[in-house]
Amino acid sequence: MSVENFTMLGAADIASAVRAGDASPTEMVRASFNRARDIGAGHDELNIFLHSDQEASEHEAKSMQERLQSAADIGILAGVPVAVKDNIATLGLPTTCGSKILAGYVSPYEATAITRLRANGALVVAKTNMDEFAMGSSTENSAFGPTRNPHDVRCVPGGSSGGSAAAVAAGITPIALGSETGGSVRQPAAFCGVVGVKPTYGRVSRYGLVAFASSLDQIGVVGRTVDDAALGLESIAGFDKMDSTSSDAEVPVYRLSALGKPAPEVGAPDTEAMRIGRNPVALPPPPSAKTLEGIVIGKPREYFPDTLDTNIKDLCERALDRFRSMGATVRDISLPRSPLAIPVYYILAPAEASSNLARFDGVRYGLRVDSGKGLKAMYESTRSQGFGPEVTRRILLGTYVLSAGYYDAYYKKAQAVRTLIADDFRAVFTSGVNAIFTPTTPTPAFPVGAISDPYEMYLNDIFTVTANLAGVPAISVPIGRMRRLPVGGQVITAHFDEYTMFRVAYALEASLGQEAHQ
Amino acid sequence: MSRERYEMVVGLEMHVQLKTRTKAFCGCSTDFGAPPNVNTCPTCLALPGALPVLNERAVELGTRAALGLGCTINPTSVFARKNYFYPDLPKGYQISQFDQPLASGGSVLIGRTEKGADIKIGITRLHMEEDAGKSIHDRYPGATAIDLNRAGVPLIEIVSEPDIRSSADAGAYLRTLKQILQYLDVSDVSMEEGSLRVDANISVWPPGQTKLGTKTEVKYMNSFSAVERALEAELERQCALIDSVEQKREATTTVIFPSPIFGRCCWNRSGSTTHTRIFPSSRMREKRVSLRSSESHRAKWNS
Repeated sequence: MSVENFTMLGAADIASAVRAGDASPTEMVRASFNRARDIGAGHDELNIFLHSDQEASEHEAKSMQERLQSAADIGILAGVPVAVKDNIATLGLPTTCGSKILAGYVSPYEATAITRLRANGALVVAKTNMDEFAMGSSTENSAFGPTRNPHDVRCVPGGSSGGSAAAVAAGITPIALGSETGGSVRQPAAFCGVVGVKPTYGRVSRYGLVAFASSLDQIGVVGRTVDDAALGLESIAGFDKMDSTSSDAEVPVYRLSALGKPAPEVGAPDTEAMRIGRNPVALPPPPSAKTLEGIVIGKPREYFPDTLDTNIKDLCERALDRFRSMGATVRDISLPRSPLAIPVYYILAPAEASSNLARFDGVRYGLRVDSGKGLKAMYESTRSQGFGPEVTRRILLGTYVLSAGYYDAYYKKAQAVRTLIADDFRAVFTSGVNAIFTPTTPTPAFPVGAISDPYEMYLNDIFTVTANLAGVPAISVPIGRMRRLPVGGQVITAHFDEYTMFRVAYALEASLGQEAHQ
Repeated sequence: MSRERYEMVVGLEMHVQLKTRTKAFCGCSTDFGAPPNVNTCPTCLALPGALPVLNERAVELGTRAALGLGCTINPTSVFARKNYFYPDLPKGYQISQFDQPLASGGSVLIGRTEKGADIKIGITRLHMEEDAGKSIHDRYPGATAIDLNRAGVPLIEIVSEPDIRSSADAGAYLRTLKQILQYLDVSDVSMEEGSLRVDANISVWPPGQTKLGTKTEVKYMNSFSAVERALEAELERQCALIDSVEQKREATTTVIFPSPIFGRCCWNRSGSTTHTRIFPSSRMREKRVSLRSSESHRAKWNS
């Protein structure tokens, strides 16, 4: 294995090389930082990272090297550099949520997902840029400037986990952690031509994930390939006593690479590939056998409206054809309440946010703007100067819908509709459908600054937000390009059935091969 | 004068600290008298990303207290957030219970009438909640110091029916309640350490009337004699107010509506109802107290 190939190595390749002593953690950390420099991840270019510290990362890698030499088993992510969204608490690097109100804040404790990543041998190399407090679909709402899409720097990478998706798409790390409240991992993964997973609500501990809307929030994983995403999820999933909503359901092995599959051959590195929109991802070879025998894939009509862009529709049809050719049955289905998802989401999520963000008050940590005019004035100036416009908008919306007299009309009604949306999914999955396939987004990445109307921006999440409301797992996989920009397809399965979700995603990825990136 | 014609109608809310080793939603110690902000952690400091985990022992003690007061344990009870800003409330909300409290119904026998009939004060509900921290206004000139050692300490709030008609009955009710809680060993019921506080809702009416008058809430009293004095003072004040309104009504027709906040005793931390927003806490699963566990409590305390 050669570090020259770094941008094309899967997490499993890196981990097995490191565990076998063919590569060192230090080499991997250096390769990651070099790649970031080469591709221009810095603030004035792609602006992918908010915080990183090469010296500290190399120090960490060195101590891992020492442990390796003493024959310790470092884990399934041994020596794998991982980037982490800046709303997940890490020791060492700040956790700012892309907000001025937390500028410079360093958490004195670490998120459970990060502890688990490290326990599996991962090296956290950077915190990634994001829409402030995960509120947005373009990473333009970061207080520290927008991230650019590595496939086309004029475009957004999607959001709110835009920095994480861009880091993986740019070949800086094979895995990055993001978070989802309404599509914030899958949508940027689709825009950046990488894989993005939102697990079942409760699958991954939220301890240390800065809360936006607690009943919807879930840590997710971005990977270069399905296998990277599977490996990442496997390493962080499972019950945590620090999160009462985490599930004690058993976590199966999701990785194809765990089955002893040989690492795919990779060609010569092409460091400029990302700049011109070619994908450096090493893909598994196409399978020789039909691999989806007996699987029923639902195609929900509400997610394929007449208004859907024909390019996206055609790419989805191609993916559905591949499912059929691999032995799956494609069935037309309906999720009739899904069109209500956006209004429901924009009542529930801001309501929870207005309460969750109350702790940022200037009293204990973060920004405090105090002109000596008393407590109320301190609250007002801290919060109005600390929060950006989108966060302020959602706090106002949420405060309104929770106010006495409006609670029943908005919050309670939205909760009731949420239940109906979840019922639709349950009905489909109990009727013999194993997985649902939809486009991830209605459009590919749009230019920076192109969408100024908040409602138009919200509609970006129209196909993803239902999985959050229903709590079911979903994955976005690259299915092709339009106007040279990546397009993602989404696979949704029943609660805690990530296994089938990965199985379908693996098959699709293998069947499309390089076509997924053309 | 209305002082002779009116009597007080009082309901009391008693907040009692449960005798747990650790706080309601984190593992911090509840020891009294530790140096400021020592008994704190990411959860009770409300650091970004921290989550609450319910202390089962607190539920156990709350359930025991409820059974001791003859309450019905609700098979499902739900925690909710009471949202308001205050510097010693780290999360910007208090975790409490609203629509679905731990227990409902119940009563306390406080004595007998001359004819030998029971004087019973009804218990409306008993719910669980967490305490806030402490604001210290008189220690540093020009500044308020915050001690969060108390933040997250488990409390039960015992809400009585508006069955109390005199300050003496109020005192008898509180003393009986204290005895019961002491006997059940659910709380230290120590006034000095702040493990017991009382809020009173008081209005006045002419005996025989059935429509309640406009009430005043007197909050954060930490001694029984303070409650008795406050009720007497408030009875006087409300009667005087009624007299002055009636005189004015004769003279002009303008009605002056009494302020719902009793200025002399306290201020209302949470502001008016329009600013206090409540919603179910999704961070916690619903608390289901199984019948079996509440029955086992009952058995233990009957034996």
